[in-house]
Amino acid sequence: MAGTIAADTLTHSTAGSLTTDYVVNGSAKVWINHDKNPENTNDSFNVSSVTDVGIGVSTYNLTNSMSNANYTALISAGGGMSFATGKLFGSNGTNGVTAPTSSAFNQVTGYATNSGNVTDADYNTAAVFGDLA
Amino acid sequence: MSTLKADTIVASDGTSPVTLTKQSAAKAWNSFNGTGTIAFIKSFNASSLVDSGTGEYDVNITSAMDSTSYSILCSNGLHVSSNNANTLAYQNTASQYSTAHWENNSKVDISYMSGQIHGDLA
Repeated sequence: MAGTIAADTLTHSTAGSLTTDYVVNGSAKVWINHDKNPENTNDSFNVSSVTDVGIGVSTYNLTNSMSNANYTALISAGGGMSFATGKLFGSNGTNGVTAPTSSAFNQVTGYATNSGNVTDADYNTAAVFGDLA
Repeated sequence: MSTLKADTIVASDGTSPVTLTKQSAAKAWNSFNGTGTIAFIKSFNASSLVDSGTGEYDVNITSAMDSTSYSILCSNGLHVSSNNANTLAYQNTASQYSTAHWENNSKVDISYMSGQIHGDLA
């Protein structure tokens, strides 16, 4: 039987209760694990495609759009942690990358040890919180 | 207002995880103190920490993910120095990820690290 449960509160026998607005508002609407070396999306949720903008720069295009561009996008990256050239997360608005829209946002990744130099990292990850359209 | 009381919610087939409409819940999250004897401050679905070197940590997950393709998001706070402070992370296995904190081109221990995982449980 497929169906929908409609409830305002979830109660666990020992772990307490949670009003379901925390489930709705606190769940990620998008997440992705993307490899830029070579380009490959390992896994994702609510991402329709990834645009390779250039070295260290990707645009994540969303399947279901957010309600506006004012969502929270958390971005991280890694790869080669044992090497001096570790990578770090990036942000929007640099390297010619445009600001996020309701249907797409960008990730820029650069070296942790050489500030400002973009690079294609093995692990580029992101998650989005906010309201769907 | 309605209240649903249950310890476990499964999909209609009796075994699969519940599908949240157009959203995905975090499968693990944690914050920890990475200085001295490292320890979780607060965590969910995290079993233990390993101090793997200066500024480097392994985080072990209680209920494993289905692969190493999950998404990790790590951040930091309470920097030793705010100059060029960066935190990075990568997936070791389905049940462990590593994270490191850098400042001024070197890894350093830090008193507040946090991380969360999105993806599918095994």
